[in-house]
Amino acid sequence: MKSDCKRAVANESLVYIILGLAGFFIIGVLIFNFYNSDAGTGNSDVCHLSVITRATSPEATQNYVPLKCQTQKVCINDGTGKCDYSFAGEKISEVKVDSKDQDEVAREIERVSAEAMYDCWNMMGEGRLDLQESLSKKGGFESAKSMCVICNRIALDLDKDKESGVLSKVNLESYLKGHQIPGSEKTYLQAFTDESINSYQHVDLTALKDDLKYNENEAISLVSSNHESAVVFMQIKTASVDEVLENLGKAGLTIVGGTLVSVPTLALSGAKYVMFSAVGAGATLAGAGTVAGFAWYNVEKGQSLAIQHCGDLTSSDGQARKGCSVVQVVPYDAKELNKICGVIESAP
Amino acid sequence: MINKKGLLLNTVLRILLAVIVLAGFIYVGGKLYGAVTSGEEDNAQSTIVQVSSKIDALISLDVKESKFSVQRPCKENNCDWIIQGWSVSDGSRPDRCYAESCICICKGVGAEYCQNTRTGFCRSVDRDNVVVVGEASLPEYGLAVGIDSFPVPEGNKIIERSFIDFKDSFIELEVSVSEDSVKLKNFISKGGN
Repeated sequence: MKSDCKRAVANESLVYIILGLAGFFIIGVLIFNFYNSDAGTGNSDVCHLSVITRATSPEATQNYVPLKCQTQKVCINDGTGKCDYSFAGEKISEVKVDSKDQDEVAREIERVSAEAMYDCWNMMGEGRLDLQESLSKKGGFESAKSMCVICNRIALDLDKDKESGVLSKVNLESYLKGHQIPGSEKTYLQAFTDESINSYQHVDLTALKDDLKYNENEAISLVSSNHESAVVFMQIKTASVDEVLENLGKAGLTIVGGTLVSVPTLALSGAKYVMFSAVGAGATLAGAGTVAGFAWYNVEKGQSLAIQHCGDLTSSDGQARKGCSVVQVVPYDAKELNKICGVIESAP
Repeated sequence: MINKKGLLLNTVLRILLAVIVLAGFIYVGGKLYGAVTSGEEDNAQSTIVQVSSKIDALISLDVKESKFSVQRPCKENNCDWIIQGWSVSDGSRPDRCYAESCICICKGVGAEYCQNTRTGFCRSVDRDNVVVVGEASLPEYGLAVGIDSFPVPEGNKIIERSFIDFKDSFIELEVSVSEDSVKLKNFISKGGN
């Protein structure tokens, strides 16, 4: 009788152990497949899931939770090429346009850029999630380092004679303000900011250019960039607002840097979401001289557009930490990207 | 009366179970660790595919020279992945380049780092000669070779090396293609940080 009882207890334990083991293996295989799935790395859902996983992980382990975000390559072409110059050998998604209608092509470039910015912003948690391990920064031993995810690379492959004409018509700022997100009643501008916001915070860079050491040589170097842009999510985390300003100030394109220097004061005075752009930059570029410079004028305005959230970031331990998150469209150029990004978290 | 056979069987079963559980933990843990840390290798492989595809594209489009940006395979600055290249006539090239010129991205300088398929990735180049040039500033080079006070001659602060490393998040590569050679060069950014 006693022996039967013991055997029953032993059998029950064995069942529990086998069940536990089976559960462990199933969960392990699922996690393994999630992290090892090649097909999934290009998927924005997988990226978003990894973003949430990292944000909700204990701070000490955050660095060991990889972001499974891969840069998506978009080729806008008129059928003559497939952006081989930019994306040879890489997996791309194509957007076909008719380069005879320059306005239509310009709207298509704006649409693709706006959607990429919106998707990137959503995928990365709208700038509210804490994605950077910061133990060393807490101690004040290390200055804040910006982390970046390159969400998209957008390249053009159009008839070379028409390309400049098309680019001069691109006005991303106007598109974000005047177009609704598909399936929503909000405009991109409203979705990125508060619904009540209908206009941009403008910063006159011509007035600021002396402070920014903005010069014509810099403008010309931007003009000579290739026709490839990147949609970049950047996060800087620090307790010191001055440090954010310092990093954002030294970050980036002269134009973007200039804009960022002046905007956080507004952000800290209450408005958490700020959408801003630069005016005057075009005039400065045009003043810089070349016809190519003028052709890039509106594109430069687009590049100076950024969506920013400065304020508390949500972390796993519930403690609020200060930081700034920005999504911006910048030229895909090593020199410019290095100014913005200290750490790259996305796969190329 | 104690059933010795039963006790022994029970103990053996428990030990067997413990071994299976332990093996399971090690297997799944190892796989998870591998999956989490494999990103760098995947990125390095993407990088070399990207570079060699660009070279192929330039050859097929008959473009002689081009510049493009390449992302660092590692997250942070201490990145030990290196781009190197070997001509077909170079006897010291890695075995995996077979009888062709090749460019490789490997975790160290030298062909030996490119032999291992886990620490090196190579692609063939459709030209007899491959030249890889990476610029470095002399103080930085001095630190790399373990000399803190490396003498810096006036007017010559940049040296050229036969490999390209990733000092920044992105590097700019210049590719020149001719009838019989491919040259890959990385300049020190003078206007960067």
